[in-house]
Formats: sequence, structure tokens, C-alpha cells
Amino acid sequence: MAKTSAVTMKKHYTKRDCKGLLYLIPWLVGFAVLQLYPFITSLVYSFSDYTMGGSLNFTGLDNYIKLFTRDRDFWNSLKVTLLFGLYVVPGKVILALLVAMFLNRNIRGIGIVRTLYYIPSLFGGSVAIALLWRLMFMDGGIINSMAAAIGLPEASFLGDTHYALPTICLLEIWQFGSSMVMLLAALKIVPKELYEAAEIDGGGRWVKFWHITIPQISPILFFSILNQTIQELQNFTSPYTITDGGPLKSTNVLGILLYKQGFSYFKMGYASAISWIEFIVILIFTLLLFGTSKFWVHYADET
Amino acid sequence: MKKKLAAAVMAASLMAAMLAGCGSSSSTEGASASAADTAATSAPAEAAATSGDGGSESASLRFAWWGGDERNAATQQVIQQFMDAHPGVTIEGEPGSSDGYHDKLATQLTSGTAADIVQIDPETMPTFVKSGDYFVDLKTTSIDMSDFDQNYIGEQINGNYDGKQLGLPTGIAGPSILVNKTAADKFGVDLTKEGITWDDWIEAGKTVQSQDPETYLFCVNKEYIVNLFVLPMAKQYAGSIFDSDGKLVLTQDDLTKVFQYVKELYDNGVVAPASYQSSYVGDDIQSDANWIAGKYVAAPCYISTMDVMMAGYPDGDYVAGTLPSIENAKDGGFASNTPQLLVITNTCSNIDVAAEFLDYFFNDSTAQETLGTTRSIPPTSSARKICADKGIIKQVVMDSVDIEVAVNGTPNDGITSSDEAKTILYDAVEGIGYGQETPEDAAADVISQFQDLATK
Repeated sequence: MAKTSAVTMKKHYTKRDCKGLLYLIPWLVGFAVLQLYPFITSLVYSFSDYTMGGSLNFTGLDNYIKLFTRDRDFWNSLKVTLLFGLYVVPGKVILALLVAMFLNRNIRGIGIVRTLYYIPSLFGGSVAIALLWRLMFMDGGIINSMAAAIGLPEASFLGDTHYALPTICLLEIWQFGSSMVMLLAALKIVPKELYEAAEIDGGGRWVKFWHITIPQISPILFFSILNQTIQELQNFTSPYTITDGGPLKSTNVLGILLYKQGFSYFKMGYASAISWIEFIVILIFTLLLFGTSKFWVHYADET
Repeated sequence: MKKKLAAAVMAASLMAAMLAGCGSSSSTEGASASAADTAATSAPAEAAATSGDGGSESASLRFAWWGGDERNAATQQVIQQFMDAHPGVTIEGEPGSSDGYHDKLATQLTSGTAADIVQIDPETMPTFVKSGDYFVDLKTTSIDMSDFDQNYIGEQINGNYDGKQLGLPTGIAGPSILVNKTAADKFGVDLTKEGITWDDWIEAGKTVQSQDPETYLFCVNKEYIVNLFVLPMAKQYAGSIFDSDGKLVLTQDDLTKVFQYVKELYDNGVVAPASYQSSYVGDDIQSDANWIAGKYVAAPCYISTMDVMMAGYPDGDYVAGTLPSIENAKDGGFASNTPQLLVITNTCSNIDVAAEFLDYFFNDSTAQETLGTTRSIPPTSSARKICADKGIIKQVVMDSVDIEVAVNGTPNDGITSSDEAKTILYDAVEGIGYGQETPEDAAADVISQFQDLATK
């Protein structure tokens, strides 16, 4: 959408234009085959009862009607997915900001400390780390053993419907590195003069943070929140590997529902419908965020 | 404004990337369906071309299976033996984990990229057979099947689909009860007596709990409760869950009784609490920390997994437990079947050599000895004799086979063995285990969902 509006139509194409297009071809081919084609096919499938290896019969809106009215897991999965986003996105961004502010200083060895904090993000989405998380938090795992050693009661982190989702969210929040690096870069370019001016006017630390730091880094903050929202609403690996959606479906995010319908029951049409609902949910949140951005995101060239 | 635009473009590209994530699977799959079609049509032609020239061909094949270290090593060794005897033939082993194996295989079959020789779970096989023409009828190949029990390989669960032998069973397996005699004697419970009943198990569980609240009689999770308690008991009541026409046979009353039994298992501490079990999903039962610590009395498992369970706690003194029944049972409930099937896919580049390899795999005495019991009790009488002579098969396993074969029962029908039906039961057992659902509600719920599956 944004792209078409930026391009003005021309009557004649110069050689230079064609050359530009030539350079774009690899990307265009990749986009068409790897993104546009699946995008359209999944939409087509979502109106059919296509099963893997079976034939394709169009069933109109049946999949969507079934999802909204008869699927016993859909509303729960939608709720779990939204909760997942609600826990992880603020948690991750706030933690990233706090750590970024802590690391935004010039002391010896700060480079090493920054690297250390970034390491968890390098494992992002890996199955190994999710398995490790499961081993740490399961009944009789290291967390429970440590709690028992210092006299705390043991908890069934992954076996209790109330704790399982927050425990998985912790893993996601722990991988705050990429947001942190961006926020750190943003903090570094906040002009020092602004702080000095505030100090002269007698502004305290809180005032400086709230009226200088936040507005100055708001574009990056906005980008982080947007990025994380899109990412976390489609999370699959951690809940699938750690709890397989259980206990009692308390971590059964839309991604798992989609995966099971598509790859365990081979119902590709139905799975495509779920993926489109997921897409629309993410679209709504993205648009909402964009809608609010004009109230709090501050761009230097707009003043 | 410029920055806003840049942000919008960035967001748009992120969304696009996300969509690619959502949709890429269906694309590979859409593109591949046609590939599978062409592969399927070209395969017979190829087979015709290669048939006739026996002897030393040159071929390069792939053999995919899942399994533990022991099975992997033995299989690789047999592949090497075959390649040594057949210069020019290369067989590449592709061992994997059972986790996600069949999801991957489904994609490979539709895209025509599956290995030439593939190990398949017999309960997943019907889904594949129904969804496409992927497998070679082994009766049309040179494999000698005379050493198999003909009734055994004639059953659908063991690879025979409408007279076509689409797969060969790798062994004989079925439910078994692995009892740690030391623990059973300590608590004074007997799980090996003739004519044991389901209620005897509850009583034994209570006896154990009354002496040690930390110890449970059975090491199981919700998946094992479904497969080794719910389904056998339901079959004893109803004969089968669905009939061959796909009609639901099991009644709500019978299922309620079964689920009441499940509730008793949890309420009386015969099995560990549901929240504890949730850490060990699916086949992961052998990593239960309490089993490894020797804290259970027995493990309901399969003949094919007894060795793995025993390896988990090697200090136990193991005996075979007996299998329970209700009065006037309509079915034994505990079906014996093969733990895996071996098939040749239609996309195989050289079906003759693949068949020659399977013939070697099943019938050659060196191969039989090398493979031992790494795929359960061997399916051929000659291999069983070799294993017994060499002492490869443990006494407890032999005893379990005898108990199992004597009880026997109808294998799971196509609908019951599907992932979808199993998941419905797993969810119900989980609900009962967590005390979230009463047995009555759970049964009503399952029956209504099963009726949806039946009418399809």
C-alpha cells in the first residue's frame, strides 16, 4: 500500500528504469514464489476442505463458521495467544529498556556486559533452549530443587494451568536482547544538551526520563513494540516444545492449534483458515498501534 | 513524515515476512502435490525398466527410520553388510527421532521426496494409505515372506491393505506390564497372578500408597492411560470403538464406566498426579525422574519398549505382569501388532534393489542376528529362534509375549488410531486427572465428538 502511493506512474520507461528493474528481479522472484504465492494459496485453501494429499473442494465460509461456532479450542487459543502477547510484549520491552539504560554508561568492560546480556537472544526460538527451560521448571527440576534447598515450597510450574503460560512467557522475556540493542543505540543519540537544559531548569531524574528520554527514543520504542507484537502473537516453538499446549490447553496458542490441524490431522484448509484469523488479529493490533502512535511517538523532523 | 513512511514500510515488510511464515508450508505442499502425482505415475515405468536385470545392479537408495542408539547402530551395520555383499549399491541410512517423524514424512510423501525404504508407525499408516498411492505392493517384489506368520501379516495393522502387502511388520509387539519384583514384594502386591482384574490394580495401588504416599503403583502419563487402560477396557466392554463401516459402537454408558475407572486411578494414587505427569508427554515416559529413581512398582508399556524401560532403572528385578479383564468381556482388549512397518515408496529409484535389501533384512541369518530385538520381537520364526538361542531375548520379554498373545484383542480401528481421536481421549483423561471434568461429563463429551468423526 505504502509502496504504490510512493511510485508516480510514468508514460515512458527509460533504460535506467529497466536497469533498476533488472536489479530488483531476484527479490521480485523471491517475493512472488516465497511470499505472494503462499499468501494467496493459503487464502484459497482456507475456503476449502483441502487435506494433505487429498482433493480440494470449495466449501465457502464453512471453515470460518466452524472455527467461530463449533471449534471447542479456538476461543481458548485466541485468549491464550492474546494473553501471551500481553505478558511478553510489555515485559520484554520494559526489561529491554531498563537493561539498556543500565548499560548506557561508560565504565570499564561495559562491552563484555552488553554482550552477555545479548547472548540469550542468539538462542531465539531454538528448541534446545526450550527443552532446557522445560528441564529447569518441571517438577523436581533445578528451580524446584533450589527452592526446596532454601526452604521455599515447590511449585508445579509446568503442570499447573495458572503457572504454565507465565513460565513460558518468562523464556520469551528473557530473550530481550534485540530490543535492548536497538534501545541502547537510541539512548546513545539522545542529545546531551537536552539533559543539561533540564538540569539548569531544575528537572529531576524522573522528569528527565519522562520528558526527554522517552520522547526521544519513542520511534525506536514504537518499532520494538510493533516488532515484538507481530512476533509474539505468532509464537509457536516455546509453548509447543515445553508443554505441547497443555496442561488443559492453558498454553495452546493459535500456532499450536494451526500446526495440529495442518500437520497432525492433515486438514490444510482448516489450518489455513486459522492462519488467516491469526493474520487478521495481528493486523488489528498493528493498526491499533499505528493509530495510537501519533499521540506518543515523537519524530524529530515533525517539530 | 518521511520517518513515518519508513516505519510504515518496515511494518509492511514485517507483516509480509510473517505471512510467509504462516503460508510457506501450504506452498511447498501445494507445489509438491503435483510432484507426487508425476512421481507416482513414473514409478511403475521405472520399475518395469529395471525389472529383469537381477544380479549386481548399481543403485543409490535411502532408508529412513526412527529409533534409539541401539537400533540405529544395528540397522547401520546391516546396511553395511548388504552393501559389502552388493558392490555398486549404496544405501544411505537416515535415522531420526520419533518426535515429529510422521509430520515430516507426510510432507515428504506429498512432495515425492520421501526415502526409498521407510519405517512407518502402523497406526499412522491408514492415514497415508487413504490419502494417496504412495507405497509398493510388496507381493509384486522378490521378497520371500514365507517365514512370517501368514495370518499375522494378513492383518491390516501389519501392512495388508485389501490384499496388497503395502508394508511388512518389523516385529511382534503389544501391551505388557513390566513389574519390578523387588518393589512389588516390598509392598506385598502381586501383579503377576492369573485372572487379574482391573479392580485388583486399584487395590494394589491403594496398598502401595498406604505404605508410602510418595510411591505410585504405575508409571504412566495421559497418553499411556488412554492406550493401555482406556482403549483396552473400552474394547472389553464394547468389542470395538468404531466398526469397520466407521460407525460408533462404544456407548456412553460403557465409556462412563471406563472414565470412572480412570478417576479411581488418580483419586487413589494408583498413578502419579496429572500435574506431575504433564512433564512427560507422549513416549517420554522412560525419562520420568521417579522411574529412573526406582520409585514405581510397575510400568505398563509395550513389549517393544520394555528394554528401554528396564535400562531406565537397571537395578530392578523384572517380571511380566498379567493383563486384566472385565467379566464377560467382548474382546481381549490388548491387541498385538507390529511396532513398525517397513515400506518401499512408489518414488523409489530402484524397487528391485530395495526389495532385495528388505529380503536380506528380514530373512538373512546374519542380518537377523545383527538386528536382534532392536525392533521388538522379530516377526519371522527363523529370527526368533536365533534370538532365543543367543539369549538376546530376555525371559521377561518372552513371558510378556506369551501373556500378550494369549489375551490378544482387536487392533485399533482406523478412526480410533487417528491422531484426532486419540487427542480427544487424551484431553478427556487430562480433564479427569485435573479434576476439571467428571467421568460422566467427559464421556458425554467424547461420545459427541466421536460421533462427529464417525459421520464423516
